[in-house]
Amino acid sequence: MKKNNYFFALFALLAGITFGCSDQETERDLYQPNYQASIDASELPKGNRPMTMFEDEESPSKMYNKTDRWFRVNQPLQVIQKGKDSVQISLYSPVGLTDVKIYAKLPNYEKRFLIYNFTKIPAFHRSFHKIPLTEGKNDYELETGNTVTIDQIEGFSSGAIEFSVESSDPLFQKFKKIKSSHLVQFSDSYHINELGKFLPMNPVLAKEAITMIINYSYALSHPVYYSTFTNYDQYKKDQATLAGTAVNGALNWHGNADDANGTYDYFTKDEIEKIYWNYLNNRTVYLAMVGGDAALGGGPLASQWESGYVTGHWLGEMSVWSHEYSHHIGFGHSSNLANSGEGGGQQGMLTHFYKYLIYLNDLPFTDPEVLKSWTKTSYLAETYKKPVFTINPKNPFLLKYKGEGKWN
Amino acid sequence: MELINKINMKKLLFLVLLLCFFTNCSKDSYDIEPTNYDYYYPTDNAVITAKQIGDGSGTLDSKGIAIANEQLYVCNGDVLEVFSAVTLAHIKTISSYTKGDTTIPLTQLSSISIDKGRIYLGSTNSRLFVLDENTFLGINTVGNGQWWQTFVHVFGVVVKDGLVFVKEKNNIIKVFETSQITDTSNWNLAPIAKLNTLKGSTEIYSMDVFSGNLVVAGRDAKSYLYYNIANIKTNAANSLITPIEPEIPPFLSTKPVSVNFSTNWAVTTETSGDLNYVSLYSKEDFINQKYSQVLNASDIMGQNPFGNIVSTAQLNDRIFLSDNSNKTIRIIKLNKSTIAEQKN
Repeated sequence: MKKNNYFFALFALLAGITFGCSDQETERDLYQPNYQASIDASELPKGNRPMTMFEDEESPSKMYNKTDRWFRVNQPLQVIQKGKDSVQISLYSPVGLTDVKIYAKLPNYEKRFLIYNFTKIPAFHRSFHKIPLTEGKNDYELETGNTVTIDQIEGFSSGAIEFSVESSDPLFQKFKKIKSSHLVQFSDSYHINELGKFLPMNPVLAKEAITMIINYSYALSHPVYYSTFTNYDQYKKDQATLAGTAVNGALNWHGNADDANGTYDYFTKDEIEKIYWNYLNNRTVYLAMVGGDAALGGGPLASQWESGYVTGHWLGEMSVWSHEYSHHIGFGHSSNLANSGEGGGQQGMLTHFYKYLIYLNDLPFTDPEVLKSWTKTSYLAETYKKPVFTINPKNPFLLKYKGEGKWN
Repeated sequence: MELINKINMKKLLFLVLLLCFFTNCSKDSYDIEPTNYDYYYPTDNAVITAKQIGDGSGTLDSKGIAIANEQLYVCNGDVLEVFSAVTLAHIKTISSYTKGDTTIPLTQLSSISIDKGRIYLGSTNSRLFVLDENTFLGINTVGNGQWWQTFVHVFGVVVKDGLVFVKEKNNIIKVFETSQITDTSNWNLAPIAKLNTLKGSTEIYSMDVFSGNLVVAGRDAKSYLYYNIANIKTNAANSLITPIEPEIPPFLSTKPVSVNFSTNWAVTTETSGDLNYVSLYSKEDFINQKYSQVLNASDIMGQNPFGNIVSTAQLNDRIFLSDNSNKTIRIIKLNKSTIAEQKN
């Protein structure tokens, strides 16, 4: 009996070693996901209705269709639900993106999952895609690398599925930093109502305007701009010290009241902070072009001349734009937020700063070659040369930051 | 005793070792079943319009609705419509309160609640009609139609757990016991308690009871208002002098319009800007003032946006929406898809 017991024990031991749990068995049990193939948006079949928005020869009526062409400056890659089962993907950018992941999120499940993996999305691309959840039961990758399997869903109520975008592309990383959520549209009402004072734009100019407003929104969002804006009194003092003079004009930001005998309606620190965020809020801006003596801004309007769109912004000449945009935010000529009078205001400071960012290559777009608009003479009223940027060695941001301050 | 003696320490050690070999395959029992979550989405199921009522020549100005015993009741202007909640066939139009020789025309019906064989009908003409659910005959009325008497108009009613809650035009909910209303009771009943809704307006006020709380969709207060029923009972006498104020959780940017606790969900309707939403919450979460939505839709499949939904009722997987702006009862079906998070 005793012997038998030992034999049994020995046998069990051997069996344990031989048939014991191997890793292979565990692997076999794990769920094997079957993900959708990645997509190259530059090689889409007809079914996806791929197109390039703002092609040079496209009818301007399309860019002026405010329900079709609009975007928020912090979301140049726009994903919109169309109907119950599709999305429209539009990239409002003169440079394409690579490695773009579009995630979806459903109510009652807190994790987002990957529905489209684009290897490439070309500049100003638009296409339509079926939401895979409406097509059948599929596997989707979670951000953790795990898998979620979702039964077919017949379709979605408006907004029932939320989309979000991630990308390792350095350009996308810059888009992600933009804090402004201004909604950008083009409005033809200005030149229709007052032709001459305003002029019609075309897709060549629209592409430049989009490029500029993204760059400008990035510049306003920049931490160095925030700190300079909210410490404008210090900026003024620094300029005075450099010039070896007393502070010229107002010591800090002030409002729209008349400046009588050097008396300014200064804003408090809290008000300045609030004003800064007004520049970055979610209001709508209509981009337009002027043809008369003066550029104009106010209400949703911000405008400038053709030259500003074609070459000016590549050179950092953003003074007029800053002025008109400040009218759009609500400041008049008595405020140094809009005006350059009384010892300089935001338009001067912003221009210096913008040029410094071009110098640092710290804007989403700094190479005018991406659009080459100066070569597109048949679409332009004036003739232009390729803009070549140089920085003034006396740029106050260059003097202060000496090549530092790049937004990482 | 003898058995213990036979097992010496050496053997014991060996047995333990052996046991280890048998049980160490923990990976074999590794839980590979996915964790499941439910996704709910609405589809259009049916719609009731004025055409389905009587000869189809009338109107549908739907206000409060309720479902009891598979019948759908709809406050429609000056009448109460009864439909089969299953086939949606129109069964009856009730246009007056009848009790013996007494006949009172129903007018301006705002709200309805059905409880224990009784139909409670609120009228903005300052009356609460109580009918028998089976015969539709009158049991009694509370209020006499004069706004300076029992009720300053009636803009909402809910009955549950022996209590009747009546929302007036002003910021007051009057609370009665169901037992106060009998076929011989006086029309001018005194409430046992009063609640303060902070704000009042000439809107239909929706409310419901769950888990010992009265919840009011405070469209003017821009929040859901919570009243603990035990607390109402404790402070009933004092509340007649100082009406009880609600607990108001800080709410979202949306404006609550209606609330209904169905078998499975807290079904609410809310408005935000121009959009009207139907939202589903877990009842437990909702009563604990946690507002993570299980479903939130302003249209079905991206089409036919909802109008102002003043009242809802649920029967199985169908939710009935009293869409006052579109003059319809819109019936939506709740569909479920499984979200299975794999263990890989």
